[in-house]
Amino acid sequence: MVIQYKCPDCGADMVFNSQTGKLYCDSCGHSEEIENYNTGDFQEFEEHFHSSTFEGDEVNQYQCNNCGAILLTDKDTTATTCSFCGSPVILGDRLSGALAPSKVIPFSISKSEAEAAFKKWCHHGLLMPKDFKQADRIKSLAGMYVPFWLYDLQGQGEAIAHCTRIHTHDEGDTIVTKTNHFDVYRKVDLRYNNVPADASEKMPDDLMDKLEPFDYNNMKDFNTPYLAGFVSEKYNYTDREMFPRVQQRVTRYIDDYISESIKGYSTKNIINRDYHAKQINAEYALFPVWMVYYDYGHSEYTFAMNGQTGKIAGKPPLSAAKAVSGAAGITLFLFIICRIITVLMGGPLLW
Amino acid sequence: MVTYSRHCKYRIKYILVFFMAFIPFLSVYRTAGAETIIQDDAGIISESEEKELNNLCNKIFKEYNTSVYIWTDSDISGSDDFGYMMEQFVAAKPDKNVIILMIGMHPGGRIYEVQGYGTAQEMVNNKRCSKILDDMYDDMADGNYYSAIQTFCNKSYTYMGKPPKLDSIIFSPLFQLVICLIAGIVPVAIIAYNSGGRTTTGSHTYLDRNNSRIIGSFDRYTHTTVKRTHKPQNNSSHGGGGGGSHSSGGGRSF
Repeated sequence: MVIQYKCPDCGADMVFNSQTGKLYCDSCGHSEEIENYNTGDFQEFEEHFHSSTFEGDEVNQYQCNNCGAILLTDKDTTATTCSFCGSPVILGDRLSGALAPSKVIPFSISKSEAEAAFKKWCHHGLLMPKDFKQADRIKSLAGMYVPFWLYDLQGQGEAIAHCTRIHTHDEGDTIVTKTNHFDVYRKVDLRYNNVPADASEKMPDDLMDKLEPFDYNNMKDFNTPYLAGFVSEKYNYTDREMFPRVQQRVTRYIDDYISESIKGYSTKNIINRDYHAKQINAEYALFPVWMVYYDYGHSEYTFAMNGQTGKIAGKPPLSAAKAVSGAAGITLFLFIICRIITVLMGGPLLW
Repeated sequence: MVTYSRHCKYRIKYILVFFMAFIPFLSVYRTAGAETIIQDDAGIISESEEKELNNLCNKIFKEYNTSVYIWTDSDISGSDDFGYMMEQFVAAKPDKNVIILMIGMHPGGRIYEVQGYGTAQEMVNNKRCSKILDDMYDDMADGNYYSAIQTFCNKSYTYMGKPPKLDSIIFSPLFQLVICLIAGIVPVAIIAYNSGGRTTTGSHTYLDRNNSRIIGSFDRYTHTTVKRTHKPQNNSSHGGGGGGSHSSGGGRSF
């Protein structure tokens, strides 16, 4: 099922506007609230097909309602634009049943803002090559809703640590170091909410991790109009498949929590730990990401920008000459300062 | 105006003449210092070498107002109270600021020693005296007395221009260069490492504080261990005690 939003005033296609958070008609300026937007046919469709789930690898053919062209999609696409008429389309059957997202964080950053933010980021890249910094070779900038699982977890853990408190004092010509040894035990019961894990196989996990945190205050119940005008994909991994990754992450958090709770010691060494992270709930959510494809040299560089906060991740090319001259500059500057201090204290300038 | 400037000219002339009158005395004083610098009773250095060493010692005298004495004697051995003998040797001289090298060539136990007096006592302190003796040792043992004494003169010159507190490794140019190099590379490396974006979430980002707590804990004292270490020795020269005090390297047999 292909969903397209038509302006009730002029009949043109409406897209999601990141500034107003509403559906917006570029032609006549009409805008519609989304939260209570009546998605009509889709709601009926969803109710009807609630029990049936779109099979992951099923390749259906979709037709644009505007021009009748066959939509070029891959098996994961849930929203895109018609490559012939440019009309935004949403593939409803891929967003229903088990594939229906619960939550969505809408885009807060528009395409032009994303481009400006990316250029600024490049401009401030201290070690990036000069011609890369000009950011004038952006090949494409695509707004994409990336599928994430949001987990609520119960973390339980206990740990035993060996800690010391060290005191020193002088006794005549002798320095006396007294070390008090302690056995320290902590047991914690922790709750973590909405820990995200990227569920798309196309997106590199480390890149997505670096885009965090997203601001959950702006998270909405999912509704298809949020996707209008953007690319969206369905998840490739279920919450069960992704859980080990989150579990590992939360186990690390439990360790940090326990370590921080052991205070007031000179040294601490956790010698025994037993942590468990249990899934309580997992919700399917779509998060906004601007993907920036940039041609430089003979390679294409990919960057991701948090579509809500503007945080950027992605490995840019680095200039070896800048790195060397930077390090040499700092070294020389500090060395001169050191020698000036030495001279002021009565020493020689060099040897 | 004319009269005034003429007066001025005369006045300058008088002042110049007055100072020039003192120049011969100054040079006599300096030459006097230079003449008594080397007393080679053991005869271990040639005349030309003596001249060279004299020049080196004069350099120290001119720059740091410190006399350098080099005293060799074939009758002094390690079993003598050479430290006291050196004190007596220096006491007989008019100078207050003195660095002295004594080489006792008695076959019964050859010995050499360095001492510092006055300002030199601070600048060439015990530790530095000892360092000079160490640096001279190879040449002394090989019989290269001239080269050993040269080392003594050069080291004394260096030390007189550099307060002992600067002997610490942190003032060593090489050490400073290494530290500065690390301090230069580390931030650039961090910038390079973080150029792809940083992970800014942590253990508190997703923590529900209202439903998280410590449900069990104890901090149990088990035992105490005690470690005693001796304070590092103070390396300054022999303190107090009036005119007789001096720094010394403790002597070396060779």
